[in-house]
Amino acid sequence: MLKNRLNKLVLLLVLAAVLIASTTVFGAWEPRREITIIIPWSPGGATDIMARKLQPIIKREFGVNTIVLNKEGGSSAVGLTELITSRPDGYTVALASSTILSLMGQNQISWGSDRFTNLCLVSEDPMLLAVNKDAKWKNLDEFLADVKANPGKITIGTSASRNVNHADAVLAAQSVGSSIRQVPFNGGSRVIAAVLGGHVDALVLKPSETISQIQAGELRPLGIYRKERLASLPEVPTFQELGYDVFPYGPVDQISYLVAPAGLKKDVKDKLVEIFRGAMLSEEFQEFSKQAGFVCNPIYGNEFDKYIENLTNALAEVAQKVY
Amino acid sequence: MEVASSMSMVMAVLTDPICLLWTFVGTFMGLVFGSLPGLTATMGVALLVPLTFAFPTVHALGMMLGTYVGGIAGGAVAAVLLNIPGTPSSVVTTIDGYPMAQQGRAAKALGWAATASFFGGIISWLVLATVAPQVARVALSFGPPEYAALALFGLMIISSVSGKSLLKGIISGLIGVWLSLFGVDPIMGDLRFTFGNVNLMSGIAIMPALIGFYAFPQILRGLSEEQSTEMKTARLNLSDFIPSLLEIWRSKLNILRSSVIGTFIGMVPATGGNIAAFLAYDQAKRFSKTPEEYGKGTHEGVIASEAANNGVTGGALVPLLTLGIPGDSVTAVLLGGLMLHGLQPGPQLFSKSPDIIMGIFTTLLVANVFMYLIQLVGIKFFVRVLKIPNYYLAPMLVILSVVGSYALRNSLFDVWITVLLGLMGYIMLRGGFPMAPTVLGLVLGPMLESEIRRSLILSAGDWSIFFVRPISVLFIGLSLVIALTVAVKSFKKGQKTDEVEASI
Repeated sequence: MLKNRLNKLVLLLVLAAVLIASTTVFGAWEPRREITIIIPWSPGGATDIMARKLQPIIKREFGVNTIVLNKEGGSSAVGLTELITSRPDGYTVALASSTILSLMGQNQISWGSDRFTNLCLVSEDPMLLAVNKDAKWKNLDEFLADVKANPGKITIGTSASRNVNHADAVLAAQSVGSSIRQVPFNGGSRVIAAVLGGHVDALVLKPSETISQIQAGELRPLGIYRKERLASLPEVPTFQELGYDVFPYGPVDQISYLVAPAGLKKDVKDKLVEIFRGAMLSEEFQEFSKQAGFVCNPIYGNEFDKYIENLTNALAEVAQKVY
Repeated sequence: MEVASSMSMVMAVLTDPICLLWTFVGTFMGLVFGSLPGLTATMGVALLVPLTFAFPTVHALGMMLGTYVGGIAGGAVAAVLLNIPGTPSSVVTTIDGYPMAQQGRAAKALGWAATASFFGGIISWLVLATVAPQVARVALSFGPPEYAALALFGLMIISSVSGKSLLKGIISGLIGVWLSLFGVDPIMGDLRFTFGNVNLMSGIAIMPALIGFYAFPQILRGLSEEQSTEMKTARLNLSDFIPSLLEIWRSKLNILRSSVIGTFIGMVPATGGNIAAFLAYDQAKRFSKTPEEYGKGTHEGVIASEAANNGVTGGALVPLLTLGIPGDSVTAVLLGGLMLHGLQPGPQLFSKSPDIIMGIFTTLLVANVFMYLIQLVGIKFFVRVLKIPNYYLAPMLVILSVVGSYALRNSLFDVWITVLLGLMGYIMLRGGFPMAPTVLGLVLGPMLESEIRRSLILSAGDWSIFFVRPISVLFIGLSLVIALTVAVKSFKKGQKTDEVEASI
């Protein structure tokens, strides 16, 4: 009995040794245990849902188990501080967003994006400007003409202060050389309630937060802060195409992206990108992104590094000139 | 929607044993989560979101709604037996529930809590199932000035929950407001009292504060004192703790009023069970013929708190299902859960997926019934907690407190906050300072501050915005009336109170 067990143990050890040897010989890193995805936001939020949606796909397509660890607080700074202090071994990643880049731009946290290894883009959630269905402004031109004629009169609700929403609200007014009154709320749903109740004139929020009210005709979308129109809201024009320059400092996109701690080995990075991109490009996740109202175009590598660099610079400039 | 087709959808749920089973499991889990300090209904539902991913939508919803209902109701168990609110919404239940337990009426208090929770759940369910689209607009009439006035009115409740000394109550309230100032400024985004620590950026969360303020003093006191609670250890019969129909009838106004307050507060986004319970308690005390009984162990206080916080459950679903706007923190998680199942909560849900809506209505009703039934059986076992000697109970509470405060955000930092606030709470308790006003200050302080500032942005600095809107004027007027009556009363009793205090 005992001998039998010993034999099994030896066999297992040999097998394990062969496995380890084979991977070192062929160089490709393969995750041998579960990967922890730190979500620096609360459970049930938009970012959390994305990770939860990815989990079963990653398991099915790549046979890799993942754990979603919610570490909320400090506008995502708490969870991401946890990430940068964890080992760069490929078993800990996190979903960062424009919010952390914005905090860096304002020097509100003591470390910078050099502490991350950028893996790939997960979602792009361009902001949109919308008003109540009964509002007097039928389109973006009418709205901005009114903003121009009445500087500092029109109120725009945003989901917090000094974030992309705030910047975009101010930038809309600046594009016609005027100003608005930005009204910060705690979270998007209060902003929607305030506009539906007629307390605030307009809102700047993500399509994923407002798509349900837009589809029901409760909110009237006026313009999208993006170069091209959105596939999920094809009838809504962009600011750009109507001749309003809302990106004088470069595009300030609301994105979420996958990061690992700095110092990740090349082969580990490539494998993680392969796994997560694969899952994101799956039909199931693409379908989910359309329905939830965000864009999932997981760029990576040099193209992505360049993108993050531009976004970081734009957000830093916005922090100085807009807030 | 035709009556016949909706009836068939209801029957589809009621005759689906798997769906009923999951709803039952969810409700049971909710009761466990609710009754354990540190684990909340919000956490329970959040845990279920990924777990029920593979379930048919209605089964998943049944389980999540069960956890919601059970979680809010379960909070009363720890509140009554241990003086520790199991969830934030059961803070008010401690005020009368724990004195009842100390008087040997723990089972009765739990019986009332379960019954009131049931009525609160059912009344709010009725509102949700019959007039949701019509009343949802009422919630939208709340803009920043109305929130500010509601918060002001809420802070006046300090006078109702202060116990013996109003002054100490006000000081406790101010301590709560002070604690709420930590973290990112809600309007400008500046950092306040964060000492360069990212953990303090989001401020002091309500749950670590509650565990600190309620559980720690209890633990320290448990270690330093002999067991003070005595329980009849004889077999409990149902009639010993379930209120009779006659008793329920006598409290009908309180039950109805508190449930309606809960339902209404539930519909107003970004409020929740604790605010509802405070408001209902305050109203119950004001309408009572024996207000002096409140705080000393009257079942009316337990009824008000529990009917109101379970009233929130149906109420909070009204804006979620009709407008896509969650009414409280639990429904915010539910919104995510619905989206994961490919549903877009909002105005179109009623026309696009009537089967889901009927599924929600039916499972919510079923969950309320399960919640009541499980408690009827469970109370007999719950009260045995009281027989556990302090030297076993205290270490268990320490473990629960630490695990609970850690689990909320997976944060060791929150554990330290809990310990610090716990020491503070113990000192306050020793000094005769009541805890409920501190919680009120912690919850309503930031609401008052941010909503006043938000209103003034809307009005470009003109304070008249608060006095030209009817709902705002109503709440400000009521606040003034309360402040004046309390001032007159305490002036009259001034001499007396001083003597009483001197003798303590």
